[in-house]
Order: sequence, then structure tokens, then C-alpha cells
Amino acid sequence: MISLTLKADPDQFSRLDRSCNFVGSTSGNTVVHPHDRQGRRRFIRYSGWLMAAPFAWLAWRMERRDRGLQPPSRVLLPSPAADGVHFHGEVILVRQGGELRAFAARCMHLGCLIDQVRGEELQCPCHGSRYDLQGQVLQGPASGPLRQLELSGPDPDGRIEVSL
Amino acid sequence: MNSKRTYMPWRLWKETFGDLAIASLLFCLISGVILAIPYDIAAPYASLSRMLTANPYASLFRNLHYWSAQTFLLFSLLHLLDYLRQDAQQGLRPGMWTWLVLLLIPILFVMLSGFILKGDAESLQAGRILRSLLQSLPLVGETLAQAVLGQEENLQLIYVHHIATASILSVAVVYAHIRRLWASPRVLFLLLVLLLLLSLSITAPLHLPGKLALKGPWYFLGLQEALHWMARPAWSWLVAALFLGMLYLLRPASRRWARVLRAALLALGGVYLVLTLLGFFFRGEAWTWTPPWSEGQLDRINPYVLGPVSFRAGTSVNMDSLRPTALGRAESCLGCHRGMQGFSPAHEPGAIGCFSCHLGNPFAADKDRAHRGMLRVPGNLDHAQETCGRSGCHPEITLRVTRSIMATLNGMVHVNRFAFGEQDNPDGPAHVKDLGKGAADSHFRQLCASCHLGNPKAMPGPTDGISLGGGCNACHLSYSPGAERTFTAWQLSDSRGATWPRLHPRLTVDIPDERCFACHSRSGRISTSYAGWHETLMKAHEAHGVDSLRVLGDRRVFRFVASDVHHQAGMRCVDCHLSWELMGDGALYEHKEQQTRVRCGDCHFSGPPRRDGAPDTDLVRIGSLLGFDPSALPLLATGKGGYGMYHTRLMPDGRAVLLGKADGKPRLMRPPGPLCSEGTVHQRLDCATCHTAWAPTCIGCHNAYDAKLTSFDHLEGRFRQGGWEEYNGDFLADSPALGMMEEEGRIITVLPGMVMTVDTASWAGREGAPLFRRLFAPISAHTVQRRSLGCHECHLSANALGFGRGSLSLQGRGPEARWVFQARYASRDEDGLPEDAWTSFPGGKGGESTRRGLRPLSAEERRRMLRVGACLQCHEEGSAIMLSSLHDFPSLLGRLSPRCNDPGERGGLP
Repeated sequence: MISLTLKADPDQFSRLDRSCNFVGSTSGNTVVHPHDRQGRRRFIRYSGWLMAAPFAWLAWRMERRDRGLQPPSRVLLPSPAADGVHFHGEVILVRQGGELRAFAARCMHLGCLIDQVRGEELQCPCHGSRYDLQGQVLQGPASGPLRQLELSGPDPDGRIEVSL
Repeated sequence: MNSKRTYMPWRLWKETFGDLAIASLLFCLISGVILAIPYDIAAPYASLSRMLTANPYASLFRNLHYWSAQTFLLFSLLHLLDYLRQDAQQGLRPGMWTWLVLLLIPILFVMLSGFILKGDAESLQAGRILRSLLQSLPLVGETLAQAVLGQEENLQLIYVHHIATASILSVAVVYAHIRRLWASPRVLFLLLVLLLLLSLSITAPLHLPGKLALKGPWYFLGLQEALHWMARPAWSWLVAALFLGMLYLLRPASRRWARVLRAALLALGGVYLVLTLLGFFFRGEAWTWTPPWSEGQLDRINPYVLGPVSFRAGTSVNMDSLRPTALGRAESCLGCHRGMQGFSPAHEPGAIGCFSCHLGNPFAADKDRAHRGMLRVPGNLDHAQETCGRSGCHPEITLRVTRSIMATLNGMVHVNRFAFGEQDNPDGPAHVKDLGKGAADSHFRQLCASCHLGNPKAMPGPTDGISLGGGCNACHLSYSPGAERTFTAWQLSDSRGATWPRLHPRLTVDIPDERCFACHSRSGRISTSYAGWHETLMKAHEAHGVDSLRVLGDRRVFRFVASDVHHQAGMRCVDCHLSWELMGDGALYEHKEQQTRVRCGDCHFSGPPRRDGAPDTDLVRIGSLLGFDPSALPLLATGKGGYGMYHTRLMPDGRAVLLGKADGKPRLMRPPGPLCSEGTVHQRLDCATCHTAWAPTCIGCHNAYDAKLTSFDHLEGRFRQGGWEEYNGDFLADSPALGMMEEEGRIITVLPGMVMTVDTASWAGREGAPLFRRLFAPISAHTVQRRSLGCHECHLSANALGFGRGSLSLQGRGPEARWVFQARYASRDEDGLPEDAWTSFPGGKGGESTRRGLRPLSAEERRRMLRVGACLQCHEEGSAIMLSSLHDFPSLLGRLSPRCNDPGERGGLP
């Protein structure tokens, strides 16, 4: 029979547990071979992880399906009559020389909502990216132009439809 | 095998950082549970602002939660540093060290999610950044973002992770690490004292809506600064992974490698600290480089409100202050200023609060802190972007106004410099704010620079005929009689608040003519002319008791001549003029007529109406405020730019009406008279050339500089030594002359804008002849009369032809006949032309104007006019033969009788 003295420190206990080649058992007269015991524990641990995998896959499918169920987003906005920049939450309308363009109001750097214009520049409030009124980057850190959105109209009520 | 090390922790007094972190975590958990009672995940910003403004107890628990979280993070990091200092991680079993390294992730997440759950502007942006960063991870990015953050702009899942997932993970790992979740009573007591002190004196941040600088929490400012430099932000994951990887490897690494890793981690931490300091102190609006010593930067960078939590806030609570505005926040202002009335619906405190216009601190519960940075008079263009133009209100309009001609005075600045001989043309970009110190600009500063929208209004109170500037409020603020009365009573009470005015002036789109009057009773004087008043040289006391005379607030005396026919019909200035021309359309124009959109023909049209006036943003908003339904009937549109006129209607029977913006009264739009549209000979004429009853005409003017004078610089708002004096000649209420605007090919009305001398030598302090200028300017006199001018009033008028006032008589017969001009005014020595002439008779000299492309009628045009004038000497202007001349004048010339005195193709001119 092998006796073992345990110290109070749980870390020390753990290290001792793992550094020993075997751990004795005092349950009755049966001595379980330590290799068998470790192998069983390892099997249970790995089985646990393996059992989690299908659930992870199901959760992943659920999230994908949920995302696919979100309806496509379209907004109706009043058509601006004069040149200028018009902020409508997720959409920026820019009219220049009678030509109307719609941009997603999200900075291409990290998705901050752009709601400021200084002169002829749209500016991101978070990290300082600047775009011209064609959506092109004037100053980084953003490296790509603003996402141009499809628009249609105006309808008889003077509203335009923008697909986000 | 690593040898065991004895951990000797750093101590703060007698406490270890680990103990302090545990105690902080406990306080954070407990205060968080209590805070969940008043916190509303459906309206986080509103619930937090309600705590700050009206519930000091909730505010205290929020502060405790915030500060305990900060101390938990701080002490946890110090505890980690302490481990690294001693290599104490070697004493941990490998699995535990892995978990502890990974614990940093939920700790940072629970901190950041707490920041996001504030629901204010910077929190929402932080959420968007975190989402983008998660999405940038390859393969799992989208799913991870959705699993951690949930739906866009929805804080529900983050809240769940904040109070459950991350908190449980953190607690579990901490418990696994030290097998307890309790600190000694001494640590708990000391930390509680510290947290209470912090919580009672420094309020946890809540982003003020007007603050354009958006910054993350202090521990992520280094990351925000780093991201500013990273075009590919996904690389920041590599840096984070590198950091965690190096931390993890410290344990299995050999002693030598552990030293290297520690040095690298220290360097990385040092860099992050520098980036954090840069982000905190040196970044302003839109993350621009703004040193802390820049104006206002200290206010911008400090997210905290210093000062004790006011438990008196609870005593001034009323339901108004608890009810969040439509902008999603409660404001403390109404705790004191309860019962305010007089607002238009869109600007009621329940809709936009008080802060939207007046700034200050809407979350502070005591007067001094609430009023810090407050604007007594909002709307001035200097602050327009923070007030009227804030996001969600009128940002586009504010931008347009600041670029409009009424804000820049572009044309006036350049024409003035041109008249002073300081530039060789009247065009170019300029802004009144950028005036220099030269002769022309100092003249402008003293005599003209008060009349622009950017002129700030400093004192509250009703506007009157001499009140100038004030930005948006110059036009849109209206005192009702009651509001004026209570304001006056408050002023008389020495503004002590005993009779605090309960009636607030009203912000409105119902603009009375008086708003335009203050500025437009000068220069072109279109406001006074519209109402029929003509300026005289009389003194105020001479006008006493004379009904036909009117004395303005600035003591100028006006005589009644005849008002505009639209004025007689009860129409206001804004019944014709649209927002797009009054506030500009965002473009920078050089002269006012370029910004003007409306023409007479937009209402008085013949032929099919122009009905493509689609309702736009502005039109829908303003129209609905005034009770118009833009979709009710087809609208008319302006010919210039195609702007919809929301107060016009095309009736089913084809007639068009204009509805008064103030009275809603329909007014039939009459088509132009038969003479206007008959034939083709008058097609180039502007309506004003025939329908202007009179125009205020100033003849002869002298400007001299007197160094002994004290003058007021309207731009800088202070007195100066030296000033300009104007000496006026004669004021006439007479018909304008005609000129050709070549670019448009239109004949328009013009006036002697400046026939004057400028004593530039006196400015330079030397002797010398003054500069003489004879410049004519385009004028829309706003004295429209229903009756058209008679034919002879142009074809036989020397003034209309630009020669100045006097008589024209045809002497001789046939091709030898010659027009003889007898001028009323003497000729000037400087150029030999009569005082009021634009060009010499029969032509050749003079002809300068204040616009590029504006010229007197050419010799050929004058010849053609005078040839008709010769016919008018015998034929009545309404006669059949003269009416037929409108259709085919050349054929008439082929049928001349022997008695006709036709001067021939030369028109009687040499």
C-alpha cells in the first residue's frame, strides 16, 4: 500500500499529482493500475470535447440560419433638392451638380458611423479617416472607398429607395 | 524542471494587489447587481441620464460599479506585473497559468462591454469597432461577432455576456486560481473607503451629446491610437496574440528566454503606455492631432465630471426632468427650469431637451456644473454645428448657411475692394471673417461688417430693426408679446431669476419681414423699398409728427413713396424667397444674384406651368411644420434649379395659386400681361425693367479717413482709433437704368452703386487726389407695380439708356436727325460725365460695373431703342401701329410715310 502526504497548497498538490508516475488508491484491497486510471480520465476528457463538437456545429448552423433570416434592408429617403451632404443614419446622400449618390455611412476602416462633414470632406469620428464626396479616401487609416449603395427613384412623392 | 519560487508580493500598505483585485471584483459584482435595478437595457442612455440627473443614489452605485471595475483592472494588471517581476508564474501549474493568461480576455471583454452598455455615442462606436475587429478574423469572424455582440445596434446579447458569461468566467478562473472569492475585512474596508471617496467626488463618464471627440475607455486608448495608424486593423489581433503568446511562454521558457520575453513584454507595454498617453492628451475631434494646450482641449479630453455627488438633485425632481427626450436622454435642466412654455412642437424640451440648443452639462445636478459651457444665446454660427446643426437636427442646413452669401458677404467684400482700387475685378472667393487691415477692409469692418449672419449675438432678448446677426436665430427666433413681456420683467428685476421668464421665445419657420429688415434696410434697401419707404437725408427731429415719414431705430428718416404690389397683397418676403436661396444650397457664390433662385416668371408664367417640383427633405419638413401637404396637388418649381415651391398649387382647372406662408391665403398667380409676352422684341427684358416703380438711388458720395475719429470694428467687436466717414450726395426715388448682363443675355435694372470719391490718400496719411469711381450695380428694387412702364419711359429716357437724368430731343429730319441730350446734373471733373450717368452721351466713356459681364446698352442697342423712340414722338404708345411694331418692326420701317421722321439705322446717334 502506498501512502501519500498531501500539502495544503492546491497548486502543489496538482504538480505532485501530475509529476508522480502513479497514484495509489486505498479503496479496499484492489489496486488499480495507475496507467488504466489516467487513460480513463483522458478518454472521458476527450470524449467531452468530442461531444461538444456537434453542438458547436449546430450552434454555428443556427447562427448562419438566423443571419440569413434577416430581411434585406431598404430605406426610403426624401430626395435632396440641392447639392450637399445629407446624413440619414446608415446612409449618406451626396448630391453634386445634380448627381445623387448614396454611400453606406460606415467607415471602411472599422465600421464607425460617419456623421460629420467638414467642408468637402466626410470624416470618421473614431480614427480620423477622411473621404471626399465621391467616397474616395483622402486620408487613412481607411484604405478603401466608402461602399456605394444602389438607389432608385425618386417616386411620385419625391422619395428615393436605397438598398443597404 | 523549473524550481519552485516563493512568491513575495508587492504590497500597497499591507495589502497585495491580488487581494485588492479580488475585493474590487466583489464590490463590482455587488454594485453591478444593484445597478441593474435602475438600468434599462431597452433605453440604456436614457436610464443612465435619469440616474445622473434625478437619482443621486443610483448615480452613486453607478460610480461604485465604475470605479470598482477600474480598480479591478488596475490591480489585476499590477498583480500580473508583480508575478512577472518575480517569475512567480513558475510556481503555478501549467494549466492554471494557461487559464490565467486566457482570463485576460474575459476581463477586458467585461470592461469593454460595460463601456458599450452606456449606450452613448462613443459606446455605440466602440461596439461597431469591436464588431468589425471580430469580423476581420478569418473563417470564424462573422460567427464570432454574432455570437459575442448579437444583432447590430442591439445591446441585449452584450448585456447577457457582461452580467453572465464574462463575469462567471472571470469569477471561475479567479476561484480556481486562489480557491476563494473573499478578501480580508481589512482589505474590503480600505478599498470601500477608497471607492466611496472616488465615487462621491468623480462621476463616471457619460458622453455629452455635443462632444465631437469620440474616445474609447482609457485602457483602450492605446489601441485606438494604434488603429489610427493601421490600414489593416486585423493585424491588431496578431499583436494581441503575440502578447498573450509571449505571456504564456514565460512559464515553459528557460530562464534566459524568460528574461528576453519579459523585456519584450515590458517594451510592448511601454509602447502601449505611450500610445495611450498620446490618445488621451493629444487627440481631439475626429482623432485629429490636438495638443492639450490647444483651446478647449482639456475640456475635450476629460471624460469625468469632478465634484461631489449632489444628493439635493433628488429634491428638485419633477416629472419633466425624468421623462427622456426624443433624443433618448433625460436632462437635469428642467429640474429648475420647470414649466417653460412657448416652444414650437419640434423644439419642445420633451422633444430635444435644453442641451441641444444651450449646451452646458445636462447630466449635472447642480447649477454651477450644469451651466458650465452653457450658451445663453444659441444659434450663432460659431456654435451652429454644436447646436442647430448637431447630427439629427439640421446639419445640412447649418453647413449651407455658413457657406451662403448672407454669411460670407463674399460679393460685398470684393466689390468694396474693387471700388477702393485694391483689385482689378469684383470677383473671387472671400469671407467677411477673413478681412484684412487695408483701406477697403477697414472701411468694411467699420461700416458693413455687422450685417452678416455670422455676427454673433451676445445678449438674449427680442430682435428689432437694428438687431443684426445671430446666425440661425437672426431669422428663426420669434418673441411672442407674452415672451417679450416676461423677458423685460426679468431684465428689470436685475436678472436675478425671481421673475424668471417662463415663456421661451419660439423657434419657427414663420419668418416675419422684420427679420429681414435689420440688414436689408441698408445698401440696396430692398426691405424698406418693399414696404414703400425711401431713405432721406433728413434728421430724426425733422420727422416728428409727419405721417409720411418714418424714423428707424438707427435714427435714419424714411419717406413713403409706394410699396411693392406684393406687399400690398399681404405677402411676406418668405412668400417669394425659398429656403434654398435664403440659406444657400451649399455652394459658395460670389454675388447674391447667383444664389437667388426665384424669378418673377416662376409664378407669373405664360404657357404650361413648370410642375416638376418634387418634394425634397427641406420642403417636406418645413412644409409640414407650416401645415402644408406637399403631396396634395402638383407643385410648381423654380426655373432656376427646379426647386419645388411647397406653398404653390396647380389647380385642376390649370390655374396656379400661391398660399401665403403666414396666413395660408390663396393668391392667384396671374400670367404676364399681353404686352409682356407679345412679339419677340422684349424677350430679353427682365420683368423688373418695366415693372419697377422706383429704386433708391444714391448719387454722389465721398469717403474719407480721419485718423482722429474713434470707430467701431464690427468684426472684432471693439473700438479703434481712426475711422472712415461717408458724405452722402443726393437720395432719389427714381427709375433705374438698364444694363445688359451678357452671361445670361438679359437686360436688367441697374443703379449707380457707387459714384463716389475715396480719399485713399487720407488713409495713407499723405496729401493726394482722391480716387474717383463710377460703378453701376444690378438692382432688384422690390418696388414692383402692376402697371408697366410706358414705352417712352425707356425708349425716350436718357436715364434708362445710361446717360443720366436729363432730356433727349430729336433735332433735324431723316438720316440727318440727331438726338440732343441735356443733362440734369453737372459733369464731374474727373471723367466729364454727369454725376448720375453710367456712360457718356452718345457713348464711349464710363460703363464700369460691379459685376463681370454687366455693361451699359451697346451703341447698337441704344440706336435700336432710340429709333423706336423717334416713332413715339408722334405715335401714341398704345396705338395699333406701335403694338404692331412689337411683332415686326422691320416691315413697319418699309411702310414709312413721308411725314415720318425716321433717323435711320444710326438711330439719331452720331
